[in-house]
Amino acid sequence: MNGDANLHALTGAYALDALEPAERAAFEAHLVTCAECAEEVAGLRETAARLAGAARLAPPAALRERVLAQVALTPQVAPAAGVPAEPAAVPGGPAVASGPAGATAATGWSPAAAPVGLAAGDDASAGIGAPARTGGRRVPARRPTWWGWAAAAAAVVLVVGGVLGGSLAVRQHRADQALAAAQAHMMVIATAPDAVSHQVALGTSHVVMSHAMSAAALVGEDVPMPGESGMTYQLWMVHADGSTAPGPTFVPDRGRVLAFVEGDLAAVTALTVTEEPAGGSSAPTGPLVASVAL
Amino acid sequence: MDDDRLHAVPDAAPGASATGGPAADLLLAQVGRGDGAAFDRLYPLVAGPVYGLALRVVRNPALAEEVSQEVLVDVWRQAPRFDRTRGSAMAWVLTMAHRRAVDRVRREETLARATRAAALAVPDEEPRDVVVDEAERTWDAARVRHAMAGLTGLQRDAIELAFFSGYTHQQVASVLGVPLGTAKTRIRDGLIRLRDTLGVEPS
Repeated sequence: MNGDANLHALTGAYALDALEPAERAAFEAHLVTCAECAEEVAGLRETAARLAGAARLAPPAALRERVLAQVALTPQVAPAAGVPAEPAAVPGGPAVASGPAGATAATGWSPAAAPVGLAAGDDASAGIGAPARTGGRRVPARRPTWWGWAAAAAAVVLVVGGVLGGSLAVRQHRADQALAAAQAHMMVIATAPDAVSHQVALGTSHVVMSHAMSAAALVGEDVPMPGESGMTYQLWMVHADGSTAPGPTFVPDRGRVLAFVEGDLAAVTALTVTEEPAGGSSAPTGPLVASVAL
Repeated sequence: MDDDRLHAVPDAAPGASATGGPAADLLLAQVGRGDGAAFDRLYPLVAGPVYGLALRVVRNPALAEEVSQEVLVDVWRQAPRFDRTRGSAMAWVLTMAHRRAVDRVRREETLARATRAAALAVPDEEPRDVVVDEAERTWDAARVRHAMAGLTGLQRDAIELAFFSGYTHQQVASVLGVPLGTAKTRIRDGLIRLRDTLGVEPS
């Protein structure tokens, strides 16, 4: 056999990534000039994909959130030469979570700017991306922001407590990681030069807010559970004209709560907490639990 | 709010098949133009195959998840380079996934092999957010099993070892006790026969 014939016999091993690095490099060089091999490799790769497809398994739910959070931070490569490029390939991830950019001037809180809720034991389904779909439209993809990441990381903690049972240790580990991210997020707000703190009459809680960071965090301990089972706490932004914008829902996890809102706080005159049916409301319906003037 | 929460569960994946179908091709092309919403919709089509393949190769759920995350982020990153004329989206994604899983298993061979038995014994009760159609999966698996049954024992073993165990063809040859040239040709012959049995369309 001559050298090319030897190389040609490697299509299968190449398609299955079974070549040593040096062989792989040699074969790839050969592929550039051998249309026959290139075509065969393409067909064998499709075949291998069928083998893989039959092995598919549902991945852990938390994977999606981590992937979306990381994608929001990851710029795309330029198209290869020869691939027709469409204009306006804006780098930017999926609309992971609405940040300040989603806020409108009129209210300070557009519907799409629904804050990321963060609370142990509340609603594991209120994951990343949910806020961005409010009102049947999506926030346009945009440049990755630190906020996008932090909000996404914070949202991960929503799984805590909502899914008890099963592999507790793994979940606790994830929850701990997410909690650490949320706490880091809160630290950034709390250490902003213009950060101010207000006590909140909900267990031992306070709100830390920063106009510079366009964000506020409600953090508390010894918070009692909502009065009725099936109810949840919900945070609200109250504007000067009396209108309210919905914030995240949360229930205490071993008495602790942590919830974030993001947006232009200049228009917000007070934060309130009410009890709402599970899943939250678009306007306050339940009893007022706490209120803090900003 | 309720509406949000309904949407927080990824859309079911109509047309999710072993190959992802034209939906995956179209979505990946959109992702390549920086469309984050398209990535959201592509995710449920590709995450299951990527994770399943990674787990078959690395045999360790935590490692498989790590590999899957790297691959799926890489899908986003590299998407502008996807060229539909050179193959399907699913093949493009799974080629990346396999390469990455194999690289990882070779790098961490000792660790992975040591934890293999333990990892397999761990019941997996993680919450899932990608709905894998069990019937469809079973059907695909049955087709693949049927196609694999049409191979010679040596072809089948060589492909299993190379694809799912991440062996190099030298390792395949050594494990099966055949000359290197034989291992190479069995892998190729076997794959070609699978391609024809499964009716894989040239793209």
